[in-house]
Amino acid sequence: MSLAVLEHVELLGVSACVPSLEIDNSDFVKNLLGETALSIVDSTGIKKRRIVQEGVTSLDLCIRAAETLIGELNISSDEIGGLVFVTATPDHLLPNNSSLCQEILWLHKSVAAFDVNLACSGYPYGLWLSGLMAKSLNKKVLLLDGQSHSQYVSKEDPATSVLFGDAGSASIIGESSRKSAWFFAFETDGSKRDVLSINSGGYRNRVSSNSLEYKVMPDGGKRRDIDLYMNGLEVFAFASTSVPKLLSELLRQTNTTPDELDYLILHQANLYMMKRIAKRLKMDMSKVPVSLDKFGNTSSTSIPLTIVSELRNTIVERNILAAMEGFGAGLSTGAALIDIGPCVCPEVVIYE
Amino acid sequence: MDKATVFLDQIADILEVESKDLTMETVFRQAIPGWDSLKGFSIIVMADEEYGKKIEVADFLNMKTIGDIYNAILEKR
Repeated sequence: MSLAVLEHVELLGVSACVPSLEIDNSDFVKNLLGETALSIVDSTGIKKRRIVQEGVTSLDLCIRAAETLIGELNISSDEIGGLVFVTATPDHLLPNNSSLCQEILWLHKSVAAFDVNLACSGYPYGLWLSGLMAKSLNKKVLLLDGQSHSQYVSKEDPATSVLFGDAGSASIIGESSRKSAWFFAFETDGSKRDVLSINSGGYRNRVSSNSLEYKVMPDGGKRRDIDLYMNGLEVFAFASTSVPKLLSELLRQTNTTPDELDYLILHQANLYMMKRIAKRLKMDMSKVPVSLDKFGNTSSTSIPLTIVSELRNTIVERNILAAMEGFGAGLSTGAALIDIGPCVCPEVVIYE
Repeated sequence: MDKATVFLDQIADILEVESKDLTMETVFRQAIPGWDSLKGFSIIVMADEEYGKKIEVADFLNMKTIGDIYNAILEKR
């Protein structure tokens, strides 16, 4: 494991925005799979989730989150020298989301803006990049993290259709005079890339009429070639073994015990998986905040969304020590040990 | 503790039940409240990690009792 250390940076504020359209997951599961499948709602823990309305994307959600945060922090856009947009659901293949954001948010043209193509593992990567940039630029960095996977998940694929929600978030990272350090560890395993993938729509297998046809696939799921495919067993195996291993090692190398953590903020994949990970790390679930009951699996945005939705009252008042870990497509994992707060944290914004 | 008891404890942990409520004859898909594929995945992962036995999903779908899983793990590769 390679330990990345970042000193003298802080999270100045974090915000999140979710769509107004709410799906009742029990109704959804009953219609798709019948009443006998309802236990999946309990074990995933996903009671409700939000999906974007027609014509709305994760970019829109992130813009709303950013405007809210910039307003509450009362900073001018000129103070922002960098913009990192973590997303696997960009508005277009070209240009990137961050270029659009420069204009919409009135950021100075000198801003260094780019997208980071990561799914569920993305937020710790985004924090790390933003911190590095803030120090290098001596300016604040705006980290947008938004995903709208619901748009490319087949409603007739039981492995994926019941899980995902959409969300956007904004975080502002700046330099700090405080000594405390942020620590990061990452893992990438390309040999498992096929277990969480979208086959068509990029440049290797371009969109064709064939890729838009619904087919029953070998795993029994019915989807198009442009829809998300997930090998449930392989992803579960990865999440329950490699994921706690990386975080354990990060804690060990930073001489941190689970008891010293105020919170363990996990990617909100599903509740059963989170419980298994927490158990491995010897963390009590009372220290593992849960937002997926309300919002579903919101991919990389689930970490900042969970912070805003569940820890807002804490981080506006005091400093907490949090471990966080995102894991997903790649297969990729990002783990971080950071302190948060006191900082600005508006309530979750609903996008109308 | 004998191997069978260790195994039942591991299964109980995965199924989120007490091990005293399990026997090798337990038909897990019916007897366990809240049984679903996630718990199935967890059993397959445990079999690999703890016993070095890779169980195929297709074979697992044919297993009915906890004893069936235990026998699969004990089978010579």
